[in-house]
Amino acid sequence: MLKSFVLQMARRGFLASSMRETRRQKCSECFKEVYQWKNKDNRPTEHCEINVAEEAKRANLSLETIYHLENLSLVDFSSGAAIARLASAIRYADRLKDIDVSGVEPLFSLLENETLPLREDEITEGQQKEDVIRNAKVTFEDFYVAPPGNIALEQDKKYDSFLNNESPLNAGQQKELSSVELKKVRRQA
Amino acid sequence: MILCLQIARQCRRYLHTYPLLQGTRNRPPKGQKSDAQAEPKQQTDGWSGVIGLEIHAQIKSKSKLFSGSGTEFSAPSNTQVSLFDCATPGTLPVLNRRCVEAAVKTAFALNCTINPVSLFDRKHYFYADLPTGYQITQRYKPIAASGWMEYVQVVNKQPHKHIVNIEQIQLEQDSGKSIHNPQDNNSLIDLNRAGIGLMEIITKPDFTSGEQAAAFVRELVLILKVLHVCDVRMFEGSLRVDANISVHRKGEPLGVRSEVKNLASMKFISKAIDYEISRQVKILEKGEKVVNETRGFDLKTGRTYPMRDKEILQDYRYMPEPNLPPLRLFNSENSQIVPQGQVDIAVVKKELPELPSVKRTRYLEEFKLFPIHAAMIVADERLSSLFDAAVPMAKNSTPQNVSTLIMNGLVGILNTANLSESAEEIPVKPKDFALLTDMLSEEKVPRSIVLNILQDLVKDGSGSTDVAKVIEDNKWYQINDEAELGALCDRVIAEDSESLEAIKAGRMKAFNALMAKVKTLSKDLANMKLTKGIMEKKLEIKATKD
Repeated sequence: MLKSFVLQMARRGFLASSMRETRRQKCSECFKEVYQWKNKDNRPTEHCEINVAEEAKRANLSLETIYHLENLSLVDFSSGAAIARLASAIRYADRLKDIDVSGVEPLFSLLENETLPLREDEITEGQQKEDVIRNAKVTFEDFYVAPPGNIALEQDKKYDSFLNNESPLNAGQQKELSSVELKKVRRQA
Repeated sequence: MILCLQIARQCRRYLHTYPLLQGTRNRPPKGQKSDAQAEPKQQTDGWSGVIGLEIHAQIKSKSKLFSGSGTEFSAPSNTQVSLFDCATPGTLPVLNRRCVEAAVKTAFALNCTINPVSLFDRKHYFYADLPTGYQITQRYKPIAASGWMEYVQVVNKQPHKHIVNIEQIQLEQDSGKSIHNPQDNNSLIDLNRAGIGLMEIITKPDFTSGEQAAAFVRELVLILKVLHVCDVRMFEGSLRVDANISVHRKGEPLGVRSEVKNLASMKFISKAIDYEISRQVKILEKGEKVVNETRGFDLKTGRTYPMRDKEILQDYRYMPEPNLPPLRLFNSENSQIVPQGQVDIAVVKKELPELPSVKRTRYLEEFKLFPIHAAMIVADERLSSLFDAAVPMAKNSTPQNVSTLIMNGLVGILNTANLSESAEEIPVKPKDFALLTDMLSEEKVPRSIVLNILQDLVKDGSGSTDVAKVIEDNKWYQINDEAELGALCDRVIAEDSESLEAIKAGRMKAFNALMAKVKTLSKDLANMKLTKGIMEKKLEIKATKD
């Protein structure tokens, strides 16, 4: 404790070391630069107010769409801040619709002037069963083993509370680990 | 982003200005619409079904669509899988030329417009039998589009012609096979089938009943077999049919459709579609709404059931396949230079065999065959090749005689002989068949002898028998001489007094006994028609129709 105080004094000068530590950083939600108190667990405090419901409405983001996106991408949104970020990303991409592209053929690939080369119909590969199933952890009599059918994701999360601005922004978000906790996790792994 | 737009404007590729390659010059015959009287009776109170089909036909090629592994059915599991098929990172697809030729042939047969430039897309969905997580298909710019096909539906023994419009034909990959293992609660995945080329033929929703759909599929199966593009074994999975079914009242907008997948035979198709139509009508009459879902069909109960895995509405996130440049087709008839190894449409067109509908018309108009004979001979390629070869050789018979002998004689013999379906030819040479037909129509050899000879030829299989010599050696000539027949009749009458008395008493059945006796006495060589007349004259009885 004394050692760190002395080091601080040496590094930043006498006056600065007596002030409670602050830091200047961008708020991750509204991107403004603010001074924030550095708290013990190093988590940035929220300073701005985001209206999740309004952001979602402006981006035409409904509850069904959020569940649908989760199913497709297997990304867990889990917090109001994440939904607000998604909504702002959608609105950013929507600006593409303002461009007039009538009469322009879309460029789908830089290979569009090439011709697809064709192959003669002959058996040149195969019979490499060992190589093919080598990476599978579980096999059964030369078959891959997979769970039965498609298991639908559970949809019991309360996203409507975020969309109605009832829950705080960061509720549900996984707590960022402090440096001490990070070291513990790394040692265990 | 602005830079991209500038590049896009400079690189204008007017795909639509490439000259369209016409499939055939034929357009649907003007004024010939589906026969109105063939429309089935409205099932319930003005509801009519609207059905569209998606047919997946496995292309008969030695290797897969994008990789070089083999395509045999029932190979040991996971032995026909290359590193590309199991989605190893770093592997790339290379298109098989035979599959492109197969698709072009089918496009010609279905009167489609062939796109000279076609693109591949990725269709994303998660399932264990799709290792890459996407299927390479051609959703937006397929190899052929806008075709039509004529087919015949038999209603109350009357044939009715219908025309169905084909939306598009596209090339796509097949997925692997998953074997569900309920006892261990898992699925076993075999990737032998993953990557085999499929042709997906999508029809416009022009069908109104299951029978029509089944009739169409029957005709399509015949076309694919004749083109040698697909060995249509529906139960092995070479041809799979999915139906999109909805109902509506005439004049109202189309209803919500549901999809019934994996219909594996004609019977399944017609039953499943009819059940689904009645199910949807029941729901709508209750006032409820039809759900857009994927269903399967269970033949045992005759009902469709919702498939649990496909409950979630799929968003396929189509995107252009970045690893494949456009597929270009060339036509040397338009004086285009065909690069080495590319497909020339003109060559494919020249090598097209005669299509079943053309052949049927030829048989009906040129040879004047009975419609049922024409249909059945055209349905089997081997019979039609035998017929085509034998007709010019049979100098003294009409084509009808040839077809009658095939239908009423040869087919029965082939069925009992259990000739395997994969046999290329019938073991009866056209020359021999023509000779037998001639002999039969000239009444030189009796019919039973002809059938015996055919049976021996089929059993023998070598085709080395000299039929004329065999007939000569055995002296199997029909007795047509009236005097000789008369003598035989007299002999029989003299010998068999019992039957004579029976006939005099009025029991006509004894007449048959006398005829049978003549037949055996002459070793089956007597001309029974003439014999009947002679016998009747001798017994002085009126002609009775037995």
